[in-house]
Parts: sequence; structure tokens; C-alpha cells
Amino acid sequence: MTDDPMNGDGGRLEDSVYETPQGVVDGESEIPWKPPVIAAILGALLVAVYVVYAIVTGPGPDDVVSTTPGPAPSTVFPPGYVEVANRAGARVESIISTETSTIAFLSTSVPGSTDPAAIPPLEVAFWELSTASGSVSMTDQYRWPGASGSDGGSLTVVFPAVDTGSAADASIVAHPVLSAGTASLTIDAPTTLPVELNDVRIAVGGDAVVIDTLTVDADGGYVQWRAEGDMPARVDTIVTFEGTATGDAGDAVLLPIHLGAFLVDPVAFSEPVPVAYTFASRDRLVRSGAEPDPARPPTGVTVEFRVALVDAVADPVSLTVDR
Amino acid sequence: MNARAVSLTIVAFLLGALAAGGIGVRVIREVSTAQDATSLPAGNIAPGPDGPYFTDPNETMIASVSLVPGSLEATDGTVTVGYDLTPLAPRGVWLPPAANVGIRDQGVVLVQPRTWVLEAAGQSIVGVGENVAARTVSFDVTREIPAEEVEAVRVIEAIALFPVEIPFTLGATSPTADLGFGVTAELVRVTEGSTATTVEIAVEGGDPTRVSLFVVGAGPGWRRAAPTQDGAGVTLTWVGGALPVDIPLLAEGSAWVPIEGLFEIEMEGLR
Repeated sequence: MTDDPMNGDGGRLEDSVYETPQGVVDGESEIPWKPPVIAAILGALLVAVYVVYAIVTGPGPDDVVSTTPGPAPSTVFPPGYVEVANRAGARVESIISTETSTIAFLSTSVPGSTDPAAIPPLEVAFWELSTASGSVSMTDQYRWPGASGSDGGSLTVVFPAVDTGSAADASIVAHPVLSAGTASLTIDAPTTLPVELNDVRIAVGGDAVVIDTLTVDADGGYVQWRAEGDMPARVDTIVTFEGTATGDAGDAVLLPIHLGAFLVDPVAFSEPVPVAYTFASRDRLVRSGAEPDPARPPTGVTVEFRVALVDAVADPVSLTVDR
Repeated sequence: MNARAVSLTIVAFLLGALAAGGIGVRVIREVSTAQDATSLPAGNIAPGPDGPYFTDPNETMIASVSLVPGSLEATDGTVTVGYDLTPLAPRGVWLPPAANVGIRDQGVVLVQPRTWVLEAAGQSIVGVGENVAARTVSFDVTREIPAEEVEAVRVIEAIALFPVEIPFTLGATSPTADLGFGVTAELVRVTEGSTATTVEIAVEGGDPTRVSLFVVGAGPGWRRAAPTQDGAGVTLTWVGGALPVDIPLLAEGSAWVPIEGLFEIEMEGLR
């Protein structure tokens, strides 16, 4: 710092650096250049120190910021699945032919970000197999008894034996259930076994389901039914032997099993398990509840039919066989 | 120092800081890029999962089942991969109370990653899932392989269990029937009794690990079926009067059906 020639007051020497001089010597700037220059250098130095610090220490684990969005939960169906109804989708896994039938194996799925427990199993009234030579309707469809989420959503659809030809030309068309009418009928049967019923017609709306035959004895039975019209149905048959309950076991009950290989006899259900719709069915009836006891014959035998008959289907949905 | 000088000084300070900051940011970026390029060999940079996922970012979808890798352990002569399976099949269904219903209530996912391949140190080792309840698969290796040397794991065969029900008939003129899946049924013997007729049927063929079929009578008139003593067939009892010429039968059970595809396991889930 030097003595300002324009300021004779040595006691105000410091101020002279910052104050605008009252008089200017020719050729000298009116702007005090030193303070701004020093400030600029200080600012640059401050930032430079930070830059060096940042390079030396590197980014911390929390400093990593992705420039692209990360994976996110899906809201669509897994690859290959086509929504058939009510947020339940399906895809064809395989199709085989035997001497008597063509069998399609389908798996089902919900879309991503959807709780599978909130979506009922796929309800399809009937399926059609479309090939280059034409189209045939299913003869049956079934899933595991009481198909739950633990079954992987397996669905088996049976068609008449056809030449599927090139899989690229084949498709399986779903006709989802839009609505179904219901009806029930309870018959007091004689207590003398076996019980046999034939040609029982149960009207549902303008159509009907016909129980062609039902035979029952103390240990099991058989029921055969068909839908009269061109829409499929579901029939639950419950045969109750009243007055046979013992201990913890309730009255002996006969229930249908559409596919029984995995049901251990006696069946522990007290009600029929939900099954898929079909045009006709032949179901064995398997005993649940109390063991038959000749010393405790039934005081009454009731046969209850609960019928659901499809009365409307939604728009068809086509699934390719060759994905 | 007057206000003008103070303002100039502040502006100059900011300009200096900004200029240095601009240069500094560029330097930081260049240094950072150089570090990224040199810290990982290019071959080790996995193309991490960037698409939407269903249950886990590291999942592999097998049909509608999400397979999530969980562990990779190498011990003496064995590498073991642990995983979990989560089905996305709809299951919102009312069920009646049930207790003894076989597999249904055991929480079993009926999609099985059956055959696996592990690649490490130039070897491809095959491992086979033991059963539907397994959540690990083991690979027998010929020499010690550290877990970090495992380069890839994939499922080369996945299968799903489906219900099967096949109606068919047998009789004197057609004593055998092809039930599919390599399984045949043959009418062995018919024995007429005073009150019932016994029908003995042999069931042969098929891979027992892939198909399980049990023959029962179809329609009224049949008593409960019983396996033959050798377990290879079934004995049926008919009480419906004269035995039909074409005996109505039903083969029911299950078959493992292949799920087409090659399923790469996300190694990020095993690290």
C-alpha cells in the first residue's frame, strides 16, 4: 500500500484505497481496479479449492444420481399373455393330440402391480380351437380342484381330435363369461339306498340344465348332467345324509369331484369346490363328513343341485398357439 | 469506498467464481468419466435390468411365475444357487374349508425350473431341480469354483403341472388305447361274478417323473377303483348290470408340460 498522492491525510491511508479520488491525474482510470480484481481472484480461488477437493474425494455413495430412470414395477401382463377377462390373462403353453382329443394347456396371469389374490381365476364360458381347416368348440375344460394361486394358474382345455397343422395358423379363442343365471333345486330323496334320480330338469332363465342321472349309495355316487342350450353351465351337487353326524364330523355329505386324482378320500371339503364351466359333465360324488355307520342310518337324504348357466358371453379373445 | 466500488467488487468476485466453477465442473466430469472407464473391465459390466419388473428387478419370468435369484454358494465340489418363485396367476377365489386335499394347500408353485446350466471358468455344468418344492439347485463341479467366477446361470428346461382327464374305452375289439404322453392302457382280464364284474387294466409307459395317470370307471355302475397289486394297473368293479361292450373309462391325473424358452438368470441377484 502506498501513499495516495491525492490524499494527504496519512491517517486515512486505508480509506484512500477504496475511495474515489476527488481529482484524477491525466491518463489514470477513474475506476479503482484493484478491489474488483482482487475479489475476482478470491472468488476463482475459492471455487478452485472446491473443485480440487471434489476431484480428490470423488463422489460418495449417496452422490450417485442415475441419469436414466431405474426399473419400475410393471403394470402390464408378462410377455405372451393376453387379457381375457377381468384383469386375468392367458397364454397357450402347449398343445398335444391324442387318439381321441386335442388338449391345450394354458397358463394364466394377472398384470404387474396387481395382487393375484384380488383377481378371481379366469372364467371362460367356452373355448374354440381355430385351425386352417376350421373351428371346433371345446368338449371340456378343467383346472385343479378349487384352483388356488398355488396351482400356477394351470388350465386344461380339451377339444375333439383335430389336425392342428401348422401351429402358426392355429389359435385358441376364449369366450369369457359376461353373465350367468343361477337356480337351485333340493329334492328329498328316500332314505333307502341306493338313491337314483333320472331326467331332472332345472330351468334357468329361458334355458335349462338336465340331470340325466344321479346314483348314490352310502359311500359315493355319480352324477351326469348337460346344458340344454348352446351355453355352458356349472352344477354343484350336494347329497346330505341327515342325522349321521358323529363327534366332530358333520353329517355325511357327497360332493362332486370333477378331477379327483389329487383329492384324498374322504374329501375334507364341506362344500363343492368351484369348477370351470362346461357343456356336460360326468362327476363322481365322493363322501365327506361322518363315516357310514349301519347302526346310524340316515333319517333323511337330501339332494341339492346348484346351477349356474351362462346367459351371455363377452367379446371373444384370440390367443396364438405359436408364440 | 463508495457504493459503486463495493458493487464492482461483488460483481467481480461472482464473475471469478463463476468462471472457475465452469472450468471446474468440466474438469470434474472428465476425471469422473476416466475413472468409470478404468475401474471396471468392460466384460464385467452387466447390462442391468432396466425394464419394468413384476416382483423384483432381478427376476426372470417363467410363464407367469417370477423367479428371483437369491444366493450363490460354492462349497467343496458343489455350487448351489438359491431362488424363490412367486406366481402371478389369479387366485382370488372363495374356497370351502379344506384340510386334506393333497397338494392344493401346501403353497406349492406348480411351475418348476427343472434343468439348469451354470457356466464358470470355461465349464458348463448341468444341475437338475429335485422337485416342485425345491428352491435351490446344485451343480457338481469337477474342481473348486469360487462363487465370483460363475459367469452365467440359466434355466434350459422349465415345466408346469397341468391337470389331465382323458376319456377312453376298452373292449374285446379294441383292447388297448393310447392315452397320450407315451402312456397306454390295456384290458387284461374281465371276471364276471354273481353280483359284480371285475375289470383289470394295465397302464404302462410314460415317464413317471413327467406324467401320472390313474384309470377309473366313467359313468354310473362303477365301484371305487383299486390299484393292482403290482401297482402297474387298476382293478375296477362294475355293478351296473351287463358290462358294456365298449367299457367307458377315464384316465385322470397330471402331466408336466414344457414351458418353451431359455431363461437367463440375472447375475446381479446372485452377487
